Amino acid sequence: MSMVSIPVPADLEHVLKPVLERDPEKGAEWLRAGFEARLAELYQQWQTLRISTARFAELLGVSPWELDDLLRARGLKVTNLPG
Amino acid sequence: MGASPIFVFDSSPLVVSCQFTVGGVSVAVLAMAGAQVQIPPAIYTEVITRGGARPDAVEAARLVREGQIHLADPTSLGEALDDLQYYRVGQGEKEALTLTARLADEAVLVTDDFLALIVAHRLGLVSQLFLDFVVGQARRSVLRVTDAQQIVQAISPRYPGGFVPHSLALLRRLQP
Repeated sequence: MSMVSIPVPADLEHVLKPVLERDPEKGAEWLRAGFEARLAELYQQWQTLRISTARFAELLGVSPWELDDLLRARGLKVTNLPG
Repeated sequence: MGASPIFVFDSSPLVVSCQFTVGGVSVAVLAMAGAQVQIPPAIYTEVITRGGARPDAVEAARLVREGQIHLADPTSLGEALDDLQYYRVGQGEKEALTLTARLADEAVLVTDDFLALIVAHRLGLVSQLFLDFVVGQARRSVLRVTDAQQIVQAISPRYPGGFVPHSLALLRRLQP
């Protein structure tokens, strides 16, 4: 597993830190679940044209290339064109 | 609009065109040959700076370095169009739409983002999908129809439903 540093809001740190210390895999699972939920939420907004492709990437904190990789890896549409 | 418009590329067509190849050559190289392509600074940041050492991002960087893609002067871009405040578009799309508006009748926005296409239409800007850019290059005879067909086939996984068959039908009509 690789190590990354990310800023965490104080209220979330209060909950997440003990979990990460006690069970790192559980903590990683929580972070992954949070990311997937955010991705799913933004994907819906993107598909319904509430946000554009670049805004989708910005809100997820990734580059357009990374967004493309993330969508393809999950078998999701890589465009918001209809059809 | 003159015979040789300036094509302002959003990040979405750059991602597509640098990811796919035909005969070992990137679609970007093949499709953009003979065209005036510009990108605003925010697209450069999104695609090239943030792309880092990825091979597709490196390809985009090479096209800028070699002058196939021209980086627009930030001072000529000015402030983002006021009307864009009503839409949740990204910084790159804001600058691409603004640059297209500043270049006025000379420019065509190339984007595969549906929201950006709608916004461009509402602003009275000429805009098209990357597929239409490829068909247009064949129509202007700067790209052979057979090459354009190969490009459309290569990038077909990116597009839903009827977009690819329609593009191929448009290209067939250009054949003598």
